[in-house]
Amino acid sequence: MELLIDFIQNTGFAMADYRHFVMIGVGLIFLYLGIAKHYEPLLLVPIGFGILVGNVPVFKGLGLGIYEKGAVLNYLYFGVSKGIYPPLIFLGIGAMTDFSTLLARPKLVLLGAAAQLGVFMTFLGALFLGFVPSEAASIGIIGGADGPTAIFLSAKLAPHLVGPIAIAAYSYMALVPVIQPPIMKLLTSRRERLIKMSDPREVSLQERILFPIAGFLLCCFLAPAALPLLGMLFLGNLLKECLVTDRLARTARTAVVDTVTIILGLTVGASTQADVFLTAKSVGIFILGACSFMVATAGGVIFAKLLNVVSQDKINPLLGAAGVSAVPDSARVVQMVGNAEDPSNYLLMHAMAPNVAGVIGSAIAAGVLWSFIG
Amino acid sequence: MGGFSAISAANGWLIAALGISVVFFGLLSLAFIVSYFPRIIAWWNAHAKAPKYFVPLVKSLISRPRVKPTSSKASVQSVEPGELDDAEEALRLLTAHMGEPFKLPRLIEVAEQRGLARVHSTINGLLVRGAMVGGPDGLFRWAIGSESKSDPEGAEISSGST
Repeated sequence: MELLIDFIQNTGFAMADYRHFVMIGVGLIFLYLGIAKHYEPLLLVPIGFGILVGNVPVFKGLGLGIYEKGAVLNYLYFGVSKGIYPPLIFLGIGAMTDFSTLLARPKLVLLGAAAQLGVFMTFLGALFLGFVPSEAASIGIIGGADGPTAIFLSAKLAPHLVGPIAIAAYSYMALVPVIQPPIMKLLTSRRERLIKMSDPREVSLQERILFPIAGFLLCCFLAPAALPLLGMLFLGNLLKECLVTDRLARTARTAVVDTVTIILGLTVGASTQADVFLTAKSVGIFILGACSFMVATAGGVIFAKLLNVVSQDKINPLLGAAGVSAVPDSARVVQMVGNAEDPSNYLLMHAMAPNVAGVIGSAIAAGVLWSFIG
Repeated sequence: MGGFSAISAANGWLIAALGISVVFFGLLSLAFIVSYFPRIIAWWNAHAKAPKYFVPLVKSLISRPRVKPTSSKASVQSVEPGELDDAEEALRLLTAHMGEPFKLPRLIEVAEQRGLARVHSTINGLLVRGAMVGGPDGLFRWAIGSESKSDPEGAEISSGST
């Protein structure tokens, strides 16, 4: 009988408290959003399941928890805590990304820069709320709407906040179709939303090959701390575009990125153990994260409107919203909002330019913050 | 600590202002360079073609002393049979000092130092005539009984042999 009681006391049911069930609820919501609503399923499903894994109560000292040395999950989490996975994901992103629209219309790159306003405004907001500078910088980068970048910077500056920051970043990225449209509509007139973009020029192979080399050298000389992310991004893109390393490019955009995404999603999810995650700081991070997405969206749209004031060649200001990276979701949202006003207006292709510029911009922003505060 | 004093204490205003400026400058520079890509590539392509014009030009300059072939069995060199005999005699004198067998590059070098005209053509003519023969060891020697024979056809070298 005593043995049975011991066994029952050692089960998860006996050890769980309400926080575990709250987090399991969060994990189930992630799974629901990913599977039923198709919001970033490749990320939300592993993260959601990871949250379930991380919130099954276990005995401390058995080497099961993600924060326990020697645990399998701890070994896998090493890639997160040391910032190894994000550059590998950037390699895959580079091998998937077509920069042609950016090359065809370089002006749209500036929208990717304007959207980084969210990063720095959130950084100030976090400092205002009492976060220390390293935490504030890690929270600010949520506004870059780039999960790997957010994980990379927080792993470097505030490792104890990797879980909440990653969850906030990926949650809001998944919720881009919900967060962005009201802001886009609020800041633009119907007439502006109806602006049609002219067809981009054809981009030569030589330009596409030259871009990752020139882009890498320029960006990394400017912000060397962005080297791990941008180096891998541009390497992946060069593998894709140079046509002689097709096998490597294919591996980078399939096997490598898929493997890393599974491990990253699982471990980030598992790092949200109730006792670590459910804190006042996490609540603050979520509030600031939402604000950063809104400011980033508004920054891009307003800057697009400003460009229209000084430029002859008008651009649809909705494209500014794609400046927050969240590739390709924010570009899809631009297409959706533009299409709702005029079904014959196709903005997706044009929105990819600020979208991929946003990836570069957020990596530079992370590099800048790391070099200032790290 | 929080509020504006926390921002000021952490140099927040400066970091934010510098940060957004660096991001803008970086992407602005990128946009600027990217906008010049077509011109840079056009320039590169134009200059990359230069060797295609340059190489034939150089070839034509190098081959200027040569006589244009007039037939399939035309003489590439303008070495007259009499000249070839004289040149053979001169070369034999040189090789007498060098000893047989001899290395062809060394013979050419010595002959050029002595001011012999068109050394390569002459040696080529002698090889074709059979006056000079190569051995399996890569060294050359004079053919037995071939001394200074005058052969009008000897100087004619098929274009394929040059």
